Amino acid sequence: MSIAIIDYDVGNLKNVHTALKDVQLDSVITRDPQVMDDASAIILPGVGAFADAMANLNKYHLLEPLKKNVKKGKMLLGICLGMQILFDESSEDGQHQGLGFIPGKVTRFDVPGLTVPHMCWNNLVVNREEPFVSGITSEDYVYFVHSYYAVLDHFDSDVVAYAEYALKVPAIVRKDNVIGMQFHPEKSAETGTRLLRNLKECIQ
Amino acid sequence: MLTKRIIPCLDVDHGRVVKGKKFKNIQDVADPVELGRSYSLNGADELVFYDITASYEQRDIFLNIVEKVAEAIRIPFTIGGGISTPDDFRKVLMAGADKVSVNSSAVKNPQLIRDAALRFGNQCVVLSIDAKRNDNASWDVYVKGGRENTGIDAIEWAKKGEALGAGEICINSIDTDGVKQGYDLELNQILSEELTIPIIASGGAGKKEDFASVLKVGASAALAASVFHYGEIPIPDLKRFLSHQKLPMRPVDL
Repeated sequence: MSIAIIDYDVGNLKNVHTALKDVQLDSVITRDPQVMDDASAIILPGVGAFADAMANLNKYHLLEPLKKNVKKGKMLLGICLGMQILFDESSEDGQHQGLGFIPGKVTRFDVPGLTVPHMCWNNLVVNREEPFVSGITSEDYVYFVHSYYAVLDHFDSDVVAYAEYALKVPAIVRKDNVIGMQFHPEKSAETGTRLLRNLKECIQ
Repeated sequence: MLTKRIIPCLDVDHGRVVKGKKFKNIQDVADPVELGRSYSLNGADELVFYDITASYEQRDIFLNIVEKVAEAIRIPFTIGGGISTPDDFRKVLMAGADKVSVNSSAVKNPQLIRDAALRFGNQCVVLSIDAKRNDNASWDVYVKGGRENTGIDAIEWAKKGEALGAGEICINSIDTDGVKQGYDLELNQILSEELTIPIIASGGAGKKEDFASVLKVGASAALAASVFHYGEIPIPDLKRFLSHQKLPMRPVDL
């Protein structure tokens, strides 16, 4: 079982690779469609701007391979910006179209007096029990760094866990085989490791 | 619930962690990779790593250590020391850092803050300020490792840093650094009230109560070095103590 970590020039990907090793998951950092086809699951990491991320996926001809693998039922995990591009669109620096795997849009925190970015350890509140959040309670903290958040068309069904930051910030989202994490599991100490272990079990 | 953060800081010189008093009398302490790993496993909320040699020829050795530490830890990682261009940011970020701290170089060229924030995001840019109390009931910004007074007002500089796009301010008080008599509460309180970005208090931690005091006056995070490195205050104990003081903490599973 090997995981394809998609390399599309959106920051350092090694930390994700290293964290997967903690749960005995092999991974390769790649932009080769064949490797994506052969992988057991695909991870879209990402730090940076929405429009750049989509432009890079396009530039490296990764949009079709991603859509094809998701359609086949392969698990896709988006982390941070990689989660945001799973949605239909974003208003970060203009209107930009996303991958459209999960219905919803991405918008900036717009609450007077609220510190943005939401950069901190915050606790998860489980919205919908499922294997991916097995063992996770509101005592579990994960590390967030983001200025935009997802507004889902179907909060109740597609949000697995959220964090409270002036509003209910979607933290883990899932629609069928597509999962997103707004926080960084690779930077979230033992809770992050636990979630990656759950991911491994969901793949098997 | 947002938590207050506890941040061990490692000063690295020629590949070893060192600790000085009031920026002088530097002593060798430990291997940065082992120390980093231990903090990550024992409840530290973030790790800060300053390259205090930061000479050009030492740069690759340092980047190599950054890579090894990043591999060993599972918490956010901030790098400072010798960062003066957006390209320097890129190098340490690619080596595994999450944030980059700038100090003297930003005083010299404030545009660096804006350029880096635009390229890598505000969350990436930590403005670190070395401040020392003057005779006029305010604080001056010092550069070059605390050796040179710029005459710039520290609070004004922090505000300017926020306006330029810094995501956090790390305020290191030269008066209290290394003497373990507590953080500069007044300075931290003023900054926390006047800025909206998080303030990281640095310099002066000697006992658990010092952490409680500075977090209660508004600092988002408290940074310390020697009390952690020498094992005087284990982080799990400190976090339990602070939780009892009603300060929100990420619990440590031990």
